[in-house]
Amino acid sequence: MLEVSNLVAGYGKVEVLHGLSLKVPKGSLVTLIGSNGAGKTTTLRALTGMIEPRSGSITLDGVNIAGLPSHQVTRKGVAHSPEGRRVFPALSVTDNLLLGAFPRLTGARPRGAVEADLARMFEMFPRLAERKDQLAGTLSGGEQQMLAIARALMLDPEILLLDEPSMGLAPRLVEEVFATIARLKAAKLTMLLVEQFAAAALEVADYGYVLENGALVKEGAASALRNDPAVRAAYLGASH
Amino acid sequence: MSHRFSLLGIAALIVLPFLVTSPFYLHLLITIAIYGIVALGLDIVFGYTGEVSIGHAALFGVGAYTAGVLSLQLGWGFWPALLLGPVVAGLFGAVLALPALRVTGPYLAMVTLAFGTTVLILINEMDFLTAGASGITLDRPLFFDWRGLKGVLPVFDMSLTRMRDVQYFLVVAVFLVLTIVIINRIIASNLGRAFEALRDSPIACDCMGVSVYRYKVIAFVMSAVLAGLAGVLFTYSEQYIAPNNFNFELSVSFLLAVAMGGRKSRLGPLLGAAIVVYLPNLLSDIVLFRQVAGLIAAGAVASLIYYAVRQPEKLRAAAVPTALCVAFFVGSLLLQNITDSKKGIYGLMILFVVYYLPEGIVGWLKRELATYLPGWIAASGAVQAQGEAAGAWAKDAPRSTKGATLLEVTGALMQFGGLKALDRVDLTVTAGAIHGLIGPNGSGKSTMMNVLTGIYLPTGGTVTFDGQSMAGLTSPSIALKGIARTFQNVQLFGELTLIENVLVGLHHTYRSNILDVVAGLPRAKSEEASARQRAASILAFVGLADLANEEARNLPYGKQRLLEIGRALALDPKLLLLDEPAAGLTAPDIKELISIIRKIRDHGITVILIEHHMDVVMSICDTVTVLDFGQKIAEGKPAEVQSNPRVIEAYLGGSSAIVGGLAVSSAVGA
Repeated sequence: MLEVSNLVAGYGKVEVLHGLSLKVPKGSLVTLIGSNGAGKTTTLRALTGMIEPRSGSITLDGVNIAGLPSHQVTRKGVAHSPEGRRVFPALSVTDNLLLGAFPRLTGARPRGAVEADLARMFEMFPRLAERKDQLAGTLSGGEQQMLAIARALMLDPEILLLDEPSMGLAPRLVEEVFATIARLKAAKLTMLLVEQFAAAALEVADYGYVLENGALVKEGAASALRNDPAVRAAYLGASH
Repeated sequence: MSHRFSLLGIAALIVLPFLVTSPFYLHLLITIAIYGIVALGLDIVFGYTGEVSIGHAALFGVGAYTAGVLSLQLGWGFWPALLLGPVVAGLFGAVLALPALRVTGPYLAMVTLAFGTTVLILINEMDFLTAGASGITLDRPLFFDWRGLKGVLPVFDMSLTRMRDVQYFLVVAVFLVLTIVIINRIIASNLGRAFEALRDSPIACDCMGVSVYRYKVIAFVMSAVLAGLAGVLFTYSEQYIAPNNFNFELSVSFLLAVAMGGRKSRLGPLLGAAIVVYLPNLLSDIVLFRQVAGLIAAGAVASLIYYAVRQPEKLRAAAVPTALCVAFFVGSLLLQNITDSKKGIYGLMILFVVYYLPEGIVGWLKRELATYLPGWIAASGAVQAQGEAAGAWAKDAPRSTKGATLLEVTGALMQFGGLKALDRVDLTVTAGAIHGLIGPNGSGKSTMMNVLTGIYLPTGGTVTFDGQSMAGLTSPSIALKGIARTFQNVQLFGELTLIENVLVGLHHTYRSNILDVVAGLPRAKSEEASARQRAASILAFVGLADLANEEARNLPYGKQRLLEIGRALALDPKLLLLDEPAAGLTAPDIKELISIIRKIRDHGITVILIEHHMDVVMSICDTVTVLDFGQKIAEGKPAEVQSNPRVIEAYLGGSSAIVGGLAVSSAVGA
């Protein structure tokens, strides 16, 4: 499981996170919600080694990963589906997926059955199978989001970090993305979901944390947060 | 504070030549000042517009040879050369820039490199004009014989040669100060902001009515004029020029001066010029070299000790460069003969600076100062945004002509190879309305935006806006006709502050030209002041007044989207295109956004809104058009569109009651 304690991180002279602690138990789906600028993306950047934490610890199954560069964090089994999808536009769908398995192909992670996993991805996302030789840049936004998730899964990860998977997607595709997340949850994948669409995130998650100005203000079972009047008013747009 | 520093600097420049009695060092100082002028000019291109030129030695050479040829062929002296040198170099710069600046990045660098080589060959081959490889010799002028004044001030008592040197230094210093003043004024003006805007986001720059191409050419020509000026000064400083003075290595030295000193500052390029000129001399004197290496090592060790005591977390990062500095010093002690390893050491030092100080020496110093003396930098850099009462912008008189057709698109066809991104779409937008444009990802919505703003040239169809055809117009001219936009993937000018971002949008309100700005005329100043007022009121309108002096790249995502709207409003548009303004916003932010869009509409600005959040679309749109695979599949009032079976199938999905987003449970449960 992933355990973060007293994480402090920021950029330049600005401190964004002031001592954040959270846990993602094995096999569970935890969501981190909060308004713009609360520090959600900064949290993920610190977790994936894109910025170096100033203090605090991040452990994955007891091993400290705080301060490791991104590629080493990935080798430990932390997969990341980034905000804005960030597929490799000039590579084919298949190549994008195989790049997700890169640490396995180079022996930095146990190899396992890469080919079988690739087949499994195409089975799970039939639309990607139809387009497997197409360049990723020519996919629609929803397909690119599926590809970003599938690419992360190709790491055969210990934990999957999902950053804003619904952003910029048509309503029908938002449903599909959340349906996918629900399927992964049913398959007992450990996941940390960062999402502006708090209503949907709390609907699918087991447990939730609410982040405000770089500090946690609330946590609890997702169902409890969903019915919390303060959370409803601040993040779910309950008055609509 | 900064005024006092400038006066001190000028006083130092006046006193310096009288103190430095060695003709060798005085000549070195003159060369530093001349290279400084080139580097300062190059910084406009390299630091501000972000383009790399490796042809500046040639432009410098053109200035120098203008002076040489005028003297050789016509017997003209210093002053006419000083006038014509920059003009000729500016013309060469324009000839190079007009075609070359159609390309950017490495391609531009290659073109400037070829230009440099060509100019060098021409100078070499055109014997009849330039005396070819044998070079041109001329005499340094004496401007004023002041020996008669030695009764008043004894310092004026000096030999004729020394007097020439001292006077020449003073003349060069005057031009250096002038260069600094002129660049400072240009950078602080709307021109300077245009340069930075086109570097940070060319596409947004064009869509703010600021032509990227035009301002790149202007920046390049200004830079060429300064290189030409420096070239003339160089000719009369050396008193002999030959084609080999202006080779490729010199171009690289100029670039290095800017990169090592620190781009986007006045001090940086000057410091860089001093290093580039002085370092080769330092490397010929082993005693001096050891002393300097010792000083550097001592400084590095001192800062390491400081880190160890005060900031242990920085210790690890500082350890390696400190070790390198110490090793460098030890190496200098072991070295017996320096002349053989001169170039190698030069290269190592440059590598060290570029690797450990990527922002240059001045950039690094600024950052360290900002950490330890935050008030010091803030006081000199920040500009007060006089926040008018929030909403002052919204109280401007609204436009009239509601209900007329503002935008008419007929048969828009946009083909990319075999793919029809837009397949003969008609779109009519009424003045004063909020017109929604929805559809699945990849259905052609953003393509439509790009066609409307001139980024794409449509394969077929017509666009009529406000009664005028938009056919063939470029993005900047469409923007100036009154179509403003925001971008799906935010396109801000990251290194500019919030208020400067909005000021780029207000570029069209400026009437003063470059000369007004350089001369600092009251007209230019009052225009800037009123533009700042307006920018402040726009920032207040979008709720960002308190962050006016923050750099845009430091803003969280949601606020970046609001800033984009503010910047678009600065264009004073008739039509505003919003491309997914609510993407990545939380529910409360979305409510705020809805109210802002409503206020914009009430202000008389027609809005086209692309959005996936159905609650936004349904609550504020007057009409909604739905695209799928580049074709219009539905159009009408929001409620009609929402219940249209084709729209549900293609776009909304099984639960059309997704309004507010709470209905996702059905999908998740499935």
